[in-house]
Amino acid sequence: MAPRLAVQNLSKHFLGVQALHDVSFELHPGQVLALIGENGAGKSTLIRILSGAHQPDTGEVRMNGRPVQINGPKDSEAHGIATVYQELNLFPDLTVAENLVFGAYPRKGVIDWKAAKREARDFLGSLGLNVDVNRKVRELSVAEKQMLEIAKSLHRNAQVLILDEPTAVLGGDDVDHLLQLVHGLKERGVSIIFVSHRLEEVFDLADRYIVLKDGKLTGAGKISETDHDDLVSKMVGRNFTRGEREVSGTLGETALEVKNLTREGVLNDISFNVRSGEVVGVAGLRGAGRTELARAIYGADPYTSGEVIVKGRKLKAGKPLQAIDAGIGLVPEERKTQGLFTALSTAMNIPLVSMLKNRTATASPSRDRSLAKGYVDKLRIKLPDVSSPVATLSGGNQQKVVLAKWLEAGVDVLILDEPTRGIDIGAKQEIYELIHELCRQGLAIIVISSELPEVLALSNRILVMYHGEVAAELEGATATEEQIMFYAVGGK
Amino acid sequence: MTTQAPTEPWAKGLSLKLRSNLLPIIILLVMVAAVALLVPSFFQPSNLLNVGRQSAIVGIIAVGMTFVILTGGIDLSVGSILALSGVTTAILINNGLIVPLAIVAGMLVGVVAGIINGIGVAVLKVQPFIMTLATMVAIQGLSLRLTDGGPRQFSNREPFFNFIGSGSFLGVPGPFIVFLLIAAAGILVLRYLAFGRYIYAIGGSIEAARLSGVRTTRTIILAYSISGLCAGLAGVMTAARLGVGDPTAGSLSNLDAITAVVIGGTSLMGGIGGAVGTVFGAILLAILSNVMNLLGISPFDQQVVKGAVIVIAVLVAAKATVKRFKERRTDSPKAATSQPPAIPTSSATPDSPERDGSSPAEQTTPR
Repeated sequence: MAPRLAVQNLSKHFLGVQALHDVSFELHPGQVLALIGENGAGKSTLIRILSGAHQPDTGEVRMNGRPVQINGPKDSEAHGIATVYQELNLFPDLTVAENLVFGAYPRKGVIDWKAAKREARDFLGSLGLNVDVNRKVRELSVAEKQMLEIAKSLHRNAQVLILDEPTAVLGGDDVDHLLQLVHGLKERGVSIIFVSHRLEEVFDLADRYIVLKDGKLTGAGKISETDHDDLVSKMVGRNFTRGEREVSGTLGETALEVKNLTREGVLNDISFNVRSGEVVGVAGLRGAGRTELARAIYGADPYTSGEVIVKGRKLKAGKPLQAIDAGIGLVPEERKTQGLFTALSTAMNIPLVSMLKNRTATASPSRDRSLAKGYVDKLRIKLPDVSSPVATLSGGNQQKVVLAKWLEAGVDVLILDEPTRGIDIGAKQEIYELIHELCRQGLAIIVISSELPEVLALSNRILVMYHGEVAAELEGATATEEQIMFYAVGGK
Repeated sequence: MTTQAPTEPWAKGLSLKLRSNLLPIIILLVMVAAVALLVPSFFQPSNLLNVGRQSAIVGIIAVGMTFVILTGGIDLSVGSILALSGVTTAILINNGLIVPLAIVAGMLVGVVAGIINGIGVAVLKVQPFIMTLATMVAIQGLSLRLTDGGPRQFSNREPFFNFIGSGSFLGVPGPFIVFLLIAAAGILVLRYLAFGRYIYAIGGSIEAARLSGVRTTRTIILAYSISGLCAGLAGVMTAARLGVGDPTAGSLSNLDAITAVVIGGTSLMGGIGGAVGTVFGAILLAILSNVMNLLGISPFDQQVVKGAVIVIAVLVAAKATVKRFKERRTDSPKAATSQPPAIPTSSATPDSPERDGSSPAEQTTPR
């Protein structure tokens, strides 16, 4: 019998980046296939091809032995493939029943809502879900919403269900419920592609696995014939290259102290410190709480308990200006919406933080322009004109403008969240050099990054986060990618 | 593709710069030229002074409005504030308060209304449109309540009060002089005070502003207060001109002020534009009305023309902005493939502090 879903020699590239390279696998009825890989390994691209958001360059997808063309979400649904993303596609202000039957209403001329509710109740019941069908989706818990989304797909006769990190946003009990539901679906003969960073769940749930690394299939097989370490080494790749490490010699006083930092459901009892002249890397997978940690330290988000201490002074939660005054700087993950004012000029962007920090009352366009020109030379920022909007600069040059902003303000502690994401290699190297230089000048630096070689190359010490906690603290000089990945996926 | 010498003719750069930055001025010049051919009587000194007088009230409100719109907000309540401050001043004078204090009180009414708007928007997070719509209605009710619905006459012998209402200095109308002073203040604040930068920053991205340490709540409240203050001043001036506190005065001045700001090239999305454009926008509106009056066009038709002018002005400005953001994109293939920048719906104007295009704008990127 032909497999339910067969993916054959799928390749896809985006302007110079090979996102998927010759990937093939099969999925049979009632089977759970775990799709594993680091951030950026190609998992999303694969899912998007199956859900019709992208078209493959080469290769084909077969459903029940017949080749299918998936040009959009409609096609995908018609062929029985459904994807449940982390950002759920439900209508929050409609009821459970209205969401479930949306677009496929039972009719008696007009929509027969009585029948719709009955149908919804029966259908959810058959899946073992006890949710009041009259409740608005907005009022449901995340877990309930997720299960409703899954139910909705099945209601539309999905044969292949793709679950994109469904457990990343759930707490303990909810995870169990979801896993139970998935077990139930398996028995109904639904085929499932399960994406998760948590290997324990993979071992609990999956029958088979495939591992992607840089768009290539680096491993596939039965779950019963593999183990944690084996999967990790397949995710990381055997012959990984480590960047040139340049750990500076002298470490100074403790510049930043984080004690028992806790934000309910997000960060759990995090303690560490950073000394001046030290680079502490923060590794972990998406959703592990890295960005949330940075934002809590900086005062961008509130936290429930714990302390952030800079040079002996305790900071209040939720006050960025106080963090700036204390000498903390943040280069945020979302450069365009949080780090910069893209509609404003480079010359207007650079002095903003320093004006606030120094409580300057006046501004001078001409002074700002000459200041900006100084940084343009110093950081080799490529731009047509310091008076043109920052939006016209490339990613790397925009990031340099963000850094210039902090250099001008003067910082003792600099937190960089994904500092090189979306930046070309040349600019990347320059930003690394700048980080080393700042480190030599005695700044305490935290680098959050999803790129393991980057973390390894830059850090004196590495914190590995998992599920809102620091799962391990590793020495930068001796840590390996496998080691980091081991803890990042919940190894103990 | 770096900061090398321009490779294209200076003339093209000039035209681009003009189109993107000096749009209101160009429209103004074209209009004046057209008017010169059509209605020579426009250029008689008495008529020109009349135009200045007509532009003053809307212009003053529009300068205040510019602050609010630059933060990405809107203030619909300015017309009601104008009426309430005029009524307040009239009643206080009638009750024997000395005129300077009555003027200050009228302006304070505007500030208080602005603070309420600001708190609603920044603290309670009510959408600016809704918040100021609510205060617009409520404040108008308050004016009607205070006057039992009818205008309140008052006797006015204070020379300064006369001056800001209907007087003149060396032939220049008093209200126009006040307008120019307010405009100068607005331009200077937006350009040379740190506070002005925070306004642009909030309009650019409120989250980035907060992460840069801008105290966004305070800044937004201040912006609405400035708008209220300007509307309050306009109300006092209107009362001084009419000699009555009229609870129905200025009922459409909110829309006129927003029109002036938008024609002046300030983006309703916030973060782009400035007070220089607004000044030209207000004058342009006044010229438009004046000329149409001189041509004997009916007031009904005038509204249709005004509407058309707004749409045309905004369309031209938006085109210029798209060009500005597109043509300067620099290096790196990544940049080219990433998301295009959010294109604001309107143009940059002469006085957003760094938009003066001090170097020619023709440096484009080889593709």
